[in-house]
This record gives sequence, structure tokens and C-alpha cells, in this order.
Amino acid sequence: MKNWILPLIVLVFSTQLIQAQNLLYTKTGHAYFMSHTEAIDIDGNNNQVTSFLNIETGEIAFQMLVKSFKFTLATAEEHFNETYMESDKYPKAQFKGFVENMQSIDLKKDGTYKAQVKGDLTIHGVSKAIKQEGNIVVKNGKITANSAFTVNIDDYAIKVPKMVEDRVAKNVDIKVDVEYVPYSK
Amino acid sequence: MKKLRRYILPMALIITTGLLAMSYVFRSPENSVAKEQAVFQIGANDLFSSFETDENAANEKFIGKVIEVSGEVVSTEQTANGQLEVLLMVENPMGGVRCVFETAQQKVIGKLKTGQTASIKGKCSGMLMEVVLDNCALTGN
Repeated sequence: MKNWILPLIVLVFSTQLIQAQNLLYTKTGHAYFMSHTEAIDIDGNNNQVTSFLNIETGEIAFQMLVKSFKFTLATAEEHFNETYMESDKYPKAQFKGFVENMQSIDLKKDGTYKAQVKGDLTIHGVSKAIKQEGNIVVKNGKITANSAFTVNIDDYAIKVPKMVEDRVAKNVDIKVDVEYVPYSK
Repeated sequence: MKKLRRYILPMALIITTGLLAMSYVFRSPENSVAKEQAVFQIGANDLFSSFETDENAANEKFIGKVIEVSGEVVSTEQTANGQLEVLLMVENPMGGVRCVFETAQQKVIGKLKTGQTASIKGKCSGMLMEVVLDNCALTGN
């Protein structure tokens, strides 16, 4: 799997040297998923989400390591990595796309802005074009983004053994929230 | 005595076995690799370069394995969700090796200073902008 985050930064950086302040990022973003079934609720938290947002072009990207998800139950963590996500084969989950209405968001004014996001979501090695609404929140000079959406595990070739079918939801709820800071190095 | 041997003892055995099985299935994850042996001992820059040069090969070689990495501490940060992140320096200024601690954090912070060389054991999760090691422990602990 190509690591495109570094080349992306370099590209953005080199083509917009003067406007380097247009790039926001975080390396400690938060992603949460919840698989809810009648039998059991399984959820996990990842606090090492990397995300970039170009406030000029609206280009937005998220990348996270599957193995950085933390679970309450060790058994769930093992099954998640070994059986469902096959994280040795597909170590990352990522999203790359655009905030289509970036121009209409005034980052200098406090408020909660609806963000129309369109791009490719890649999970378990499978990429799917998605369109999602999220929020960009500006408060006291801090810029954060959040989104809640649902993912159908069949869309990403995630296979669940028949024996545990009733313990893994077909539609998994995902929440992402990140706090951005200007990218500077 | 007959009652004990015939009914109570077998019942006690079954219940104990059941409880042990449950406590395994419902166990919490190990929060650190302190008790595990490192498969690789490697410098932070060598580890990062392996991923930079050929990420697929590095993924196969390192992900899921316990690695003992040594390098110069760039920063230590307690994150909002309660994890401790220690960043080790590599040649590429945009990269690094990020060591995430869940446990023994106060002890770790006390022993690490920026500019110091540290030796840290952790399980490799892969690379984003830096190579990430999770469930870390200071070596020698």
C-alpha cells in the first residue's frame, strides 16, 4: 500500500511555499467505531489518527493504523485484527477527498459549519467513493472537525465467520473528531 | 463424605473451570509489552528508513512484532485521552518513531528528557508520518 501522506505534504508544501499556513494537521485525531448487535456491543478507540486539511483548496485526508485501535476486550481486539480487518495485510484505513464547500466556510469567525465532504474511503484494502456531511467548528481560534457516519462491512470485503455472525453488526457506526493546528516544520 | 465426593467436588470443578474459561475470554488487553521479548533491536533511524525505503516489506517484517528501538528523545507528550507519546528522532525531519505508552507513565516521563537517548520496547503498528509503536514499555522494566 503506498504511503501517500508524505508525498502529499511535500507536494502541497512545495507548490504553496508562500501559503504554507494554509495547511492544518493533527497526529492525535480520534476515531471511534461501534458494532451494535443484540448479542454484544463491540467498540474501539483510535487516538493516533493523522489528518490534513488544506483550508485553501479544501483538500482533506485522514489516515490511521488499524492496530492502534484499543478495545476493552482482548478477544475482540484479536478477532478484529486477525479475522475481520486482517491488519497484518492491510495496516491502514484512510480517507482522501475534498471539502466541497470549503470556500463558504469562514474560519475567522466562530461557529459550526456544515462540511460537504466527498472522496475515497479505503478500509481492508478496498476503496469506495463516499459522500458525507461533517462539521468544521471554529471556536476561540481553534479549528476542529467531526463527523459521524455508518459503514457497511460488506462494502469493504470484511468477512465474518458464520459462527459469530450475530455478534458483528453489518452496519458499523463510526465517529471521527480531530483538532487541527497549523502545519509547520 | 460420600455426598462431597459425588456431587459437590465435581460441581466445584465444573464451576471453577467455567470461571477460568470466562476470565480468559473476557480478559482485558495487555497494556504493555513489558513482559514480552523483543524480536528486533534496532535504532530509530534504521527502523524509519526501512519503512521509507520499502513500506510493504517493512510492514511484513515489523508489524505486530515487539521491537526494541533506541534513539534520541525529541519530545514527550501526554495526550488528551491519557496516553503518553514519546517521539524519537530520525534523519528525515518530517518523520520519526512514535512510542505510545498506556502504562507506567509517570515513571517513564521521569526517566526521559529531550535530547537523551532512550531504549523503548513496543509493538509495531505500522507507519503514518512516523513509525508507530504501541503498548510501549521502557526496556529494563
